[in-house]
Order: sequence, then C-alpha cells, then structure tokens
Amino acid sequence: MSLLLLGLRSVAAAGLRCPPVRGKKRWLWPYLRYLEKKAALEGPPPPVPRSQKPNFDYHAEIVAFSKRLNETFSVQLLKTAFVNQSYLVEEESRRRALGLDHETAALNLEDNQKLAEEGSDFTQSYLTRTLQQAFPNLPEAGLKALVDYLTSQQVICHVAQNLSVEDLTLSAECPLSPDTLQKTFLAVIGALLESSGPEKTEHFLQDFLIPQMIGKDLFDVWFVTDPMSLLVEQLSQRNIPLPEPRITRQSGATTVLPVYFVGLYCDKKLIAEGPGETVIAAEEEAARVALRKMFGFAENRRPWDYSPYRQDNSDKKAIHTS
Amino acid sequence: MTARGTPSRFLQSVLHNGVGRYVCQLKRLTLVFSKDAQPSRGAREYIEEKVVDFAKQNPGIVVYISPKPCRVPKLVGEYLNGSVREEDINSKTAEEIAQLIQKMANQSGLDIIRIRKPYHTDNPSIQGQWHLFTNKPTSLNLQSFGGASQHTDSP
Amino acid sequence: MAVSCCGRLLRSVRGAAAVSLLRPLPRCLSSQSSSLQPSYVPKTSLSEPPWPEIKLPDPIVETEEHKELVQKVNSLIAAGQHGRLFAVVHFASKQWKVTNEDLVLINGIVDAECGDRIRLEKVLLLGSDNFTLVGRPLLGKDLVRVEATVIEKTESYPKINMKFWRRHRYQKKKITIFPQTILRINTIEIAPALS
Repeated sequence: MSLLLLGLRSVAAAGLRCPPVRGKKRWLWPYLRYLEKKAALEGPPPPVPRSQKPNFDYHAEIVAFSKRLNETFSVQLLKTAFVNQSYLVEEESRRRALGLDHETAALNLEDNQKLAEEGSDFTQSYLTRTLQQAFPNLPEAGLKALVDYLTSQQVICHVAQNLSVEDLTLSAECPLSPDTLQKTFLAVIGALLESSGPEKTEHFLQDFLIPQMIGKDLFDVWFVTDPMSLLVEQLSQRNIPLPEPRITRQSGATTVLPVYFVGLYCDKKLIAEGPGETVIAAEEEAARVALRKMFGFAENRRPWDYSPYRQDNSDKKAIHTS
Repeated sequence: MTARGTPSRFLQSVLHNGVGRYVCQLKRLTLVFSKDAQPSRGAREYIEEKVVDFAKQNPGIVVYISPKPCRVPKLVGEYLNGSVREEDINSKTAEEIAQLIQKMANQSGLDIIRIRKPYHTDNPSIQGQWHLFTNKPTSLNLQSFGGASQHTDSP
Repeated sequence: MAVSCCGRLLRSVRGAAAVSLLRPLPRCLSSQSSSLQPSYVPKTSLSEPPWPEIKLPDPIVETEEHKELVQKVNSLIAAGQHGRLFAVVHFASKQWKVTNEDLVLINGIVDAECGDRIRLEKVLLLGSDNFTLVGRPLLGKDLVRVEATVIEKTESYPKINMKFWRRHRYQKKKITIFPQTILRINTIEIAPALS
C-alpha cells in the first residue's frame, strides 16, 4: 500500500532510473501493483545480521563495546566470547566447499563454551550471595526463584539486546535464537571475569542485572500456590502463635463488586491486612502481605544501593522496615 | 495534528540507564557524503576538522565515513535499542553538523513522539496507597446484636 | 456587655437616687441574679458550625509531646530504620514528588553533560513510611541530599500550533521544538541530625 501511495518516488528509491519525460506515466500503477503482489507472495526479506551489512568494522566495534560499558576487556578474550559453535562449523564447511586445503583452512578460533560456563557459574554464585545478604529472611525457595528469574532467558536476552551484544555475535543463525544470545552474554561475563577480575564483574552485574528487579514483586517471580501454609510454617519457625484471620473492613457484600479486608492477628496483634473480592481471596492476599513483610520484600523497603564503592558490610544492605 | 491523532508513549529509559551506570546510547554513526558535490561541503569540512576530536571524546561511538556519489548527504545514527535515525545534512555548515551530532549522541533511541507524563515511578506509594478505609475509625468494624459485640477492635 | 450597661446605669442612679426608687430596678441589679444565666440555644442545623469543635492542646503538654516525637524520629533516622524515602523537590520552577530510581522530564536545558551527577538542593518535604519532615519552606542542606543523573538531552516532538478559519482563506502554522532533559533520581539520603 505504501509503495502505491509514494508512487514515482518509491521507484526512484528502489533504484530504477527512468529518463525524465513529461506527461502521465501510465505504466507506473500496474508496475507498482505487480511489485506489491510479488512482495505479498514472497513475504518480507530474510533478516541479515548487521555484520553483513555495509559499514561494519569488527575490531573497532569490539573496542567501542568495551569503552561504552566503561570496562577493560582483553580484546582476544572478548572476541572468543562472541564466537559460537555453529559459526565455527559453518565456516569450516564453507572453506571446505571453496576447496581450500585442510591446513590453510584451520580456523584459529576457540569456542565460547568454557567462558559461558564460567560466566554462568559466577553469575549464579554472585546473585545468590548478594540476594542472601540483602534479604536474610528469604527462604531458599524464594531465593532460588529470584536468581532463576534474573538468569532466565527472557531477562538476559532483553539485557543483551539492549547492549548491542546481538550485533557482535558470530553465529550461523539469523535471527539469533534466545539460547545462543544467553550463552553469548554469559560468555561476555566470563571474559570480563578473566580480564578484569571478580570485583569489576560484580559491579557490572550489579549495574545491569539487578535493576531488572525494579518494580517487580516477590510473588510475580516466585509462584506460591498456598501462601497461608507457607506463612504458618514461617511463623512456627520463629515461635510465633498461629494467625487468626478476621474481617477488618467490608463493603458491598450483596453487590457485584464486594470488597473485604481481612486482617491476620497473631496473639491479638495485627501482622498484616489484605483486600480481596471474596473473604477467601482476601485471606490469601493478607497471607501474602504478611510474607512480604517477613521476608523484607515490601514495596517500601530500603532501595538497593548501587554505589560503586560499596563495601561488603552486611548491616548496610540488610536494613528494611519490619 | 492533535495529541490523539499522533502516537504517544510514556517516559521510559533503555535498560534502567541512570540507575547503575550511565551508558551512552548511540553506538554507531555513519556519515554519507559526496566527494565533489556542493551540498556536501559542510560535511567535508566537518570531516576535515572536527570528526576526529568527536571520535576521541566519545570512544564508545564508532564513526564510519562513506564517501559515495549521492545528492543528499546523510547522517545515520544507530542506537543500542536497535532504532536507526537518519538526519539530513544537506547544505549545513560544519558547526551545525557538529551540534546535530552532539544532539544525536545525547539522545537515546526512543521515539520522539508525545510523552504522556513528564515523570515515571516504579514505586508510586510509600506510605501505602489510599483506599476508602484508610484513616477511618475502626469502630466501624463493630457489630452488636442486642448488646454483645461480635468482632474484636483492631489497634 | 451586660456589665458595662450596669456601670452606666449605676452612675446615673447615684445622681438621682430618689427618682430611681420609683422606677423598677434593671434586671442586672436585682438581688436574685448574682451570676449571669447561660443562654440556652436549641439545637438546629444552624445553631453550631458544621465542622467539629477543635480543642487546642495545652501548650506545656504540646512541647513535651513534640520533644518526645523529635527524639523518636531522631532515633529512627540514626538507626537507619527507615525504608524507602520520598521527597518533594523544587526544580525548574516545578515541584516533583520523587523517590529513588525514578525518571523526571524537564522542558529546558540543564547545564550539565549526559552522565553527570547533580544534587537537587531545594527540598520541601521528606517522607518515609513512619515519619515526614516538612520544611518551612525548605529543609536544610545538611539534612537531606537528593542526587540525580542526567540521562538524556533530547528535543521534544514537533508541536504544531495552527490556526485555520474556514471560508476566510486564513491559516497560520507554527512548529515548536524545545530542548528536554531527562533526569534519573539516584539517591535520597538523610543525615541523622534534627533539632
């Protein structure tokens, strides 16, 4: 449709040079309709990686990548981090197909498998350690859920795409599959670990992975089917008597949109209050609110400290409203 | 057009930019100009005098120069979120081109359309969001049947 | 009011004592009423104002309570037991309610490059879950510190200002583009020093 609207200009943009002649070009409309039919039949053109489009200097891009993130990478390690297994296989087969000798065709490139494993291990350990320090009351299941979310494909691919890791990856697939992208990003972290050391890598992860938790609630990430039983478990561990649910507020019980506020009382003291459409839903919500307060994951907790020279003081990080 | 007739978006940043560290959002700048044509004169002057300084000051941006026969010199900027912006530098002076390039380097790749609100928060409420029962006396909870109260008074 | 009337009457009575004995005494001088009777007003919709009557507390009690409150808030701040803080900040002739990690769009130029860290000095109010500090009109610079980073310096979208009168061949069009700056509020810190 857009080709037809632009008319002669779309043809000129496509590169077709027609000599300037006065008068109505009666051939134009059928030609544009034919082009549109062809496009509709074939579908959109296959995606091409940026490295194969004009104006792309790989070495310059790699150096700029490290400078942009304000990190010192060793160029060789970084280049290895972007090389995927599929790329090596494809290159080998291409060289063999071109008829090159096996010795001259040997690629002196290593895979990013080792770096990816290192990066993945380091990320997991760092995230577990930091989140445990920041939320000491969070049980292991919750901690694991948080760490799994932060290292999940969705989050890592989002971060990698917005840091231009996709442009620099060398791989046979186009467009890149999320698995490859995740592996490449972890390999980049591994390369950073080997080039600059663990402190700088921790700082990097703190700056790019932990902000992905902003605005996220604990129970969006950790799927708990029965919050009441979990609450009872936690309270029994801390030797607090079992909670008694009572309706604190209610409105519109006989209407289509009732609202009930259920408060949970331990030893006649209110620990949490939650709203819901039915009494059961309100009780569940109250249990969730109580759990959030207990694990220190309420919405008005102390915000994360992103300062670069943060020492490993556990009391600084572990402050949250009771 | 009116606000309703044009697209709009909420204020956002790419990958929570300022929270951890600041990352310059422009990754690649391509200068397409002609070697001989008159409209590319400003572009040629800029390349002779100022482009190297700019590239040294911003090591995170890769600058490509491509002289090719074209009638309209262009500046193509690619941003980290994948968006591409083409700017026309037809018959512009070197200073104007320098200012334009500085402006592009300061932008992020988000669309330049109407921004609905001049603020964005992920935690809008700290003291608890207001609902109808905030600050209402808890004596509303009590229900009496001929003198005996059913619910206990909450603190 | 009644007392002053009695005063005037008394002076006139001393002058002409004999004459007043024939006239009946005014009600305020009669022996039976030593204190004034409270005037009874029946309760109607307009007998009292519609707002509840406020009784101001005793000033001594109030100062003591204030001292206690200040001590409590001080101890909370010193122990660092506040959660997320929010502040009302005056910047670029507007007031913004601001927390950590949130974005603010300023229509105009800020004299700082992208990536610079700025301190927002005019803080009118600081709040947390349990306490609020209200400045008169500003809070001290040694008490609160609000820091922000300049993320982006763009231009606005082209705003079209058009006038068109139909059937009069009159139209004007003006396109306005103005510079914008985006700030990310990094931290709001509070010093443990209140008076």
